[in-house]
Amino acid sequence: MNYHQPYWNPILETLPPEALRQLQLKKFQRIFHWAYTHSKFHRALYRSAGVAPEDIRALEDIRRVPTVEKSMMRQIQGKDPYPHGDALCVPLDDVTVFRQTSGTTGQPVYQPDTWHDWEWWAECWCYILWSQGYRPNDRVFIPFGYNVFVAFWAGHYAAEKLGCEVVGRSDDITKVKGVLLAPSAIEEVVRGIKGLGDEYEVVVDKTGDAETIRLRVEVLPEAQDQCTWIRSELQDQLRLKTNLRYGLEICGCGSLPRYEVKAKRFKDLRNKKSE
Amino acid sequence: MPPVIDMNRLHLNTRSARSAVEEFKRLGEDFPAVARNAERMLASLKMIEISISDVMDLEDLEKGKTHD
Repeated sequence: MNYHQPYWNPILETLPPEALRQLQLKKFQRIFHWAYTHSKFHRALYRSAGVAPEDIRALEDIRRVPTVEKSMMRQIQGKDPYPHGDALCVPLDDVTVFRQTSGTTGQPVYQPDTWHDWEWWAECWCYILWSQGYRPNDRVFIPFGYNVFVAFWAGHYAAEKLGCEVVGRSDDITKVKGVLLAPSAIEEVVRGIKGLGDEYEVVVDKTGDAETIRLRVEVLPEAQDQCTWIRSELQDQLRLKTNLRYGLEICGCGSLPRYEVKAKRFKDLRNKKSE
Repeated sequence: MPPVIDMNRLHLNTRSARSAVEEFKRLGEDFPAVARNAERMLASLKMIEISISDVMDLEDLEKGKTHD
């Protein structure tokens, strides 16, 4: 394969504008027809706007097609069959991936996808990555939480498709007091302060509407006289690295739990209370 | 100099590949390892069809044998 080829797709990316418009129209006609004939929700939406597949004859006709708002998605996803309502355009058997939006503007919007959808989405990202210069011998780090949130999964798959070595982050980002927190940032601070032992414990909790975050650390015997400095340094560094204020508890060496297998140093008690 | 790409040949190969993979799917009805892998192959093949066959169907490119 020619790594110097500047285009991921030398055909589509160099199409004359008129041919590109023809292709866009053809693709829109195809997808609109598909949605109209396979999804009860989409058909009802388009009928209410008085537009049918045979009405799409030119690109300008696309203006007649109503857009699907997030609020509509949230509404239909509350209907049977849960959680997709009547929006699916394929049989449920074809749905292989379930993701959702982040929920920053309200209830997350569910996103059911087929394997074909993800192939297509990764393909789209391949155009981006290739044009930015990513090539099969590159190593790609994706600082993303790797959870049910839909974002960046396609970037991950695209980098794999290109042949890159993909490295993802291993910790779980969570939100505390409205701030995104990577538990590894706390570990980094604790490990960077002289006089502290290896063990530490973080507890996130909730009382009423107020969230709290507490950090317990062990001070080494030889640093017992530096507790005031350690406390101040911890508070400053944590504030700087994580933008949060912690309840600090400085304990004697050996007082925190030890683990025989994988240590559980970050404890989130918020969900446990609501269960 | 831009690369010469034989679109007709790619188009024909895409068609025969689809036919072969769909045959895999049919034959694999009682063979999940064949049927499901064929399903994934179809998804990958679709991406090649998007790049090749869809463009070949465009009126103004139909007569051209190569793209350069």
